[in-house]
Amino acid sequence: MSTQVAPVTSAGAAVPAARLATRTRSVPRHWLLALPFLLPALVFYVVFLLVPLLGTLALSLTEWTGFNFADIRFVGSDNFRAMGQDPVFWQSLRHNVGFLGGSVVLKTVVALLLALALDQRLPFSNLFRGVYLMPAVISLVVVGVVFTLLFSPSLGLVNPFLTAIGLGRFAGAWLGDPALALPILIVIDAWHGFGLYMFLFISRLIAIPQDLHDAAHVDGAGGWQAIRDVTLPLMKSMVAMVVLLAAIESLKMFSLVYVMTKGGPSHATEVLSTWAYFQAFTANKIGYGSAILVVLLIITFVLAYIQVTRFQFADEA
Amino acid sequence: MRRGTAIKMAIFYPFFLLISAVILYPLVWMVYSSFKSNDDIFSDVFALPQVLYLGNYQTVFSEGAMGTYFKNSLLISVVSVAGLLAFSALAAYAFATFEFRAKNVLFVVFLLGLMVPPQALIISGFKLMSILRLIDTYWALIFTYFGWTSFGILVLRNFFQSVPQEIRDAAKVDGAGHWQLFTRIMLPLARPSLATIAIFNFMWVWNEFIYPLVYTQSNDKYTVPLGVLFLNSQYNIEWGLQMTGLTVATLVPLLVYLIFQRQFVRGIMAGALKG
Repeated sequence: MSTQVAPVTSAGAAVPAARLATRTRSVPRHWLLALPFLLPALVFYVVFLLVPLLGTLALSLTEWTGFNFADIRFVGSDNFRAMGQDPVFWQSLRHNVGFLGGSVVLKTVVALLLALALDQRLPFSNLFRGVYLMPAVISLVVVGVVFTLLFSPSLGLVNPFLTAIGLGRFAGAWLGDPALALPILIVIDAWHGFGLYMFLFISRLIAIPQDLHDAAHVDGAGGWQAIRDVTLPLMKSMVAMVVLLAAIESLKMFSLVYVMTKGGPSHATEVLSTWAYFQAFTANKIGYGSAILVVLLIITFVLAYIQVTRFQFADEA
Repeated sequence: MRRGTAIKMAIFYPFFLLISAVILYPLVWMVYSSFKSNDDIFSDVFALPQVLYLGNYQTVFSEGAMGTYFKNSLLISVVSVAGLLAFSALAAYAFATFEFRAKNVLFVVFLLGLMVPPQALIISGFKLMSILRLIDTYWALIFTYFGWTSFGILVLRNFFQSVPQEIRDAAKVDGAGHWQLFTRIMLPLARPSLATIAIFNFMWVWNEFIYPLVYTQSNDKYTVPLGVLFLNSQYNIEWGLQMTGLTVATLVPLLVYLIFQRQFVRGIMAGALKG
């Protein structure tokens, strides 16, 4: 996804990376030499990634119940026009945008603040950052079910807890409340994923040369001032990258919604991918479902394109 | 201890501890509730278990099919990761070593795989698997994961390119062909990168939900995440059993994380934020 963050060469510290590859001179028949090495990866990549990708595009132009290949009808852009008459589609799109905005802001802010705080190198910093990354390795299905139980209005933890500390009047239906369900999902998603971005920030902070800190210190800039004047300006490109990564990641939202609310109550948490899933596998509208996925793909690729072109040659350190 | 450090600790530690609590409490609650009987849970959801009740674990593995889900996940993860590791190493070697027509185009095509969200492929993917008669087989999932070599190719190509030319030339002088150079020299050198890719992809394959949801149909083919969701509906009001399923499902990725934290973090740094 991002060549630029990758201090991957450091992974192979055994080899001095200083000298980058001098390319082998072109020799004829190199395709024949390369092919055996490329073939296994290429076969599976083409058949099980590129073909379905093109398949999604092709199916989006058809009308099909999915049962019999004889029934596929080419309908051109009809599916995309049908979106205009589908209020749930627009609702889903709005929720995707809400997810994007909410999770980008939450994850970036929390991750950056914690990275800066952990960069103070206090005792146990490594322990804390290890804990903060823990949710990221746990399946979103597990996360979804645990929080569903936690927020369960009758038996869960949240309502009894609020009652116990005298805030019983704030006890609510939580995931059953159309106004609260989406914000709750956004927060849980941030709970799950902020650690990854925190580590990206930490990797950038570590790369800031110590003499810059020393220079700030000599100039009499301490603590917060040093962070504001020295550290933050150097973090700009990483912040921009994290924002884009988190935005792209937010579009993948599916598991949490599927597990926790199934898009409900009354479509209050429906997103494009769950709506496409419903259209294809419950309503048997393969074409329309695929068209919704194409919209999701287009948004993803626009963001990914910005990310790649903006950061491919970004200067790190 | 310097005075500055003590002041900083007084400022930061409350926040660190508060956030740690927010992170850990739901997980700790899940684990200790799995050792409570259903009655104990519903008489007090907060309370720690009075006695260590193991009945949930027996039920989940005997009556429920947790053992089967576990076996499926392990099989699929190990085969998939072994395959995609081998395939991406081979391809990365080709990209780092040979000059051939359309090489850069092909490389960009491979990088595309890092951006495609899995859910954008499920409808056509389901139809493809039906045509290939792979629905409800392990192969549907394994072949799909074999296709996710982009991350490995990216990381390993960068690594192979960083291997000094002298090392390769020396091998050539000794009469080693590309296959020997690859297996005897490049792969051993790349061990740390291979470990990073293996750990990262293992986590991703183990936790993957949407492909198993769409490509498997019978209970005895479910992977752990799907199985947990099934248990969840099967034991709708038996929270003890649900908590046990969740705890068991969390065990493997958490252990892998605790043991291979360095490799996992390196994977993040390599920019692979997928899943």
